[in-house]
Amino acid sequence: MYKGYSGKILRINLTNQRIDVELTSKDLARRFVGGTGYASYLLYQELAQGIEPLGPENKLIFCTGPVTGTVWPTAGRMAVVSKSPLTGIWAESHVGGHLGPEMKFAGYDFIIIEGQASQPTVLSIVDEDVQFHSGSLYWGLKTLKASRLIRRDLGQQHGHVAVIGPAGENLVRYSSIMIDGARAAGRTGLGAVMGQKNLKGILVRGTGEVSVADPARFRTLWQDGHDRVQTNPQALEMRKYGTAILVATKQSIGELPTYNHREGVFEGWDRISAETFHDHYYHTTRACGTCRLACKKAFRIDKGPHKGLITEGPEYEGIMAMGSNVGIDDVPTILVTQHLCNEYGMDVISAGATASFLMELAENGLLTEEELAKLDIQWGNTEALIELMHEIAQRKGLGDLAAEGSHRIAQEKGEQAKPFDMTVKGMEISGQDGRAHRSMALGHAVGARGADHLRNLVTMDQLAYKEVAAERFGKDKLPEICDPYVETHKALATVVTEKVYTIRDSLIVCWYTCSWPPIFWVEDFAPLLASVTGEPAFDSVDEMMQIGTRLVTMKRAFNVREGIRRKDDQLPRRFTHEPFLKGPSKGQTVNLEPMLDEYYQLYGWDVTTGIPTQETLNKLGLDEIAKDLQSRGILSS
Amino acid sequence: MKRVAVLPSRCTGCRVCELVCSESHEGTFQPSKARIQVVSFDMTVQDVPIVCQQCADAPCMEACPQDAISRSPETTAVVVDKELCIQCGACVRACVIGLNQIEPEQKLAIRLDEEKEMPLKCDLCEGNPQCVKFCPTEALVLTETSVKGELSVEELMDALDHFLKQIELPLLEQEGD
Repeated sequence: MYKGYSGKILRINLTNQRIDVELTSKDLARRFVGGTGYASYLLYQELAQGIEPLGPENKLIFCTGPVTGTVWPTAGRMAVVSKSPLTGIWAESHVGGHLGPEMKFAGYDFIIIEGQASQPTVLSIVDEDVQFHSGSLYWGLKTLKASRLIRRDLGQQHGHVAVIGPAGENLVRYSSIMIDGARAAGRTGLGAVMGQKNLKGILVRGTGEVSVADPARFRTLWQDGHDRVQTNPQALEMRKYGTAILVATKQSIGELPTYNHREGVFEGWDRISAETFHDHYYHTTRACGTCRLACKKAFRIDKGPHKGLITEGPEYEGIMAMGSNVGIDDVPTILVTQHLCNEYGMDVISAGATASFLMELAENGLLTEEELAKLDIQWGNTEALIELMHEIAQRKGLGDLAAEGSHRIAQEKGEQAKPFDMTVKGMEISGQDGRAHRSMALGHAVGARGADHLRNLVTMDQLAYKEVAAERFGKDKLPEICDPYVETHKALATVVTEKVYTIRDSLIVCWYTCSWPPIFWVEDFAPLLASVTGEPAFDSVDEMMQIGTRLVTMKRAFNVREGIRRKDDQLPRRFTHEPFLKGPSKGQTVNLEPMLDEYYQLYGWDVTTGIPTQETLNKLGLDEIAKDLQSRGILSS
Repeated sequence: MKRVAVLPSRCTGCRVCELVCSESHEGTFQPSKARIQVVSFDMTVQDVPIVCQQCADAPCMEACPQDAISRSPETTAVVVDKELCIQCGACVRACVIGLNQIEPEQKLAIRLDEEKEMPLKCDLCEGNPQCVKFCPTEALVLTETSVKGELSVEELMDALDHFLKQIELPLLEQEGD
């Protein structure tokens, strides 16, 4: 096996408590690298077509990559993949903290969880020693406390823990898996998959090593990498303020989601800006493993009704979801709701977006008295928002409906509710808006896990990095490529970015330092991967981009097998038909279809259906996938 | 006498120190073999790196029955002579910087390593500690004098005591909300 990898995959069956250790495949590593790339092939083979995400047939794969556990900047991350209970398609969620490296030190590249335990269960993985424990004592506990107690009771103070909270236990469709109680694998509802399996938590402690193929070359690369982050002014700004800086940025280009994306500017934006958080609530800074950027801020409330709260986060996304998008400009409310999402274990983006969706339904008289119960769910009502978070996690009152996510509610409510449903493929849209950031319109529409900003977000048109845009996409693409309000060249930018990001997600490193700030790109990943693994073929940008195409297409094939076609690569009507009424993006709407045409063409997918063609699959060495799709009548033979 | 002073208010818990320590001493990335260990305080959302303070009257040095521990004339670090060490663990037991109640056989500042057959402790990397060099936030400082904001040995012990208290909370404490 290549260096960098641990070389082993741990398979744990919860139904019969069987534990298997398999070998990581060198052939698959060569084709799919690691992380969610390798796991996309695994999941395709492991799951039968059409299985119920909240059933024992579904599996969870905890993923690391060959770079995880090394000192390369931002190599502390990991990912979890599965079939999503929110969307019914490919689920992938990345998370920081220290659990990923700990998995590698324990000796595992991947941990596959399958089956369903008969009772609440906790797993401990201490190097080779894997054990099942009763999880009854922890069932019902919030995530931070459950993590602490699991570490204590198992005598593993230096271990790291993935747990679910009450939201995951109650199968809230957007519940998260929380790492050490403060980092969320938030999107796509993976917590509910764990909850369905009766798996409360997994503790991992590793004392082993990660070694690389060419230590001298790798040392030069990582030392240079750390220098480049340390001397980047934007990275240092992020270290001071965190991702909250984006509140001001988005407001300035008219892309700050406000009132369920009805507007792109928010009157109270400066009361929820990075400066406000920093000057009045800053507590500490907490980095993920090996990260010099250290974007994660912990905040503290010193006065008022929520006095004494200390919480990690929120990110920009949380500030948007629990702030501007629900019409709230009150920092303590944002901190409390974010904290509740962490403690209950649910995705702050989908929880906030579902709240804003419900607020718009209520405003339009589309919620019944019974559904509303006692909750006065309307724009800017801080108490109602906080109460809704409690209710969602416990599936009480309006929370029981909200726990299903916006898209299911819209389907149930019918035509009148659909215009307010801000989802793609069933997943709530994150804190961007294609009308003011045209590349993102395409990105949201085609993202493998639904409305997603992290698999293909182009920052060139949003943050106007002209020189970087020229370098990455060609000088001839300026000025349009940096113009947020035109579609020109945005398919190309999205495709190139998406390929590089899937490589990033297979290494695994963080998205910060790739596009915001733009420090590392595929030219850095190629020598990095070659020096870590010892595979000389990785040392070529062309080869890496080919791998990128293979990985994106592999995830697409998973979704295609589940029925996803071009007709599903669509945006909410609001983005394509309702122009913004004010702000810098006033009058803007998205013209999606031409970008979609170009997008499929660039990948070699069928433009009419959005299915990767036989020729493309064969060219990418995905012959077995082509055969499988043929056997199901999805590709003609 | 030089030592790596710890300024926890600057620490982000990135653990770069653990990785560069193990890489420079062992040639691989292996925090369990790092001579510096970061302890995370969940409840107060802070991290504290723990590393040997090269004490003036080092208890480990005094406890060693083989006189295997001495002060290096070059770096002023307290160092272990592998040839003389018999792995008896007296130095580990004598050290005060650790989680005594839950890890009585190990300390954070000095630990017995069975594979290496000697105690692992900070040797100041021949005068150029890699953890100090690569710490992103200058939370670690190589110094001979006291530094504003650093933790003294007593304060490190207090911090670890606090860490122990936080994990001893009763299982079914009253929910605060």
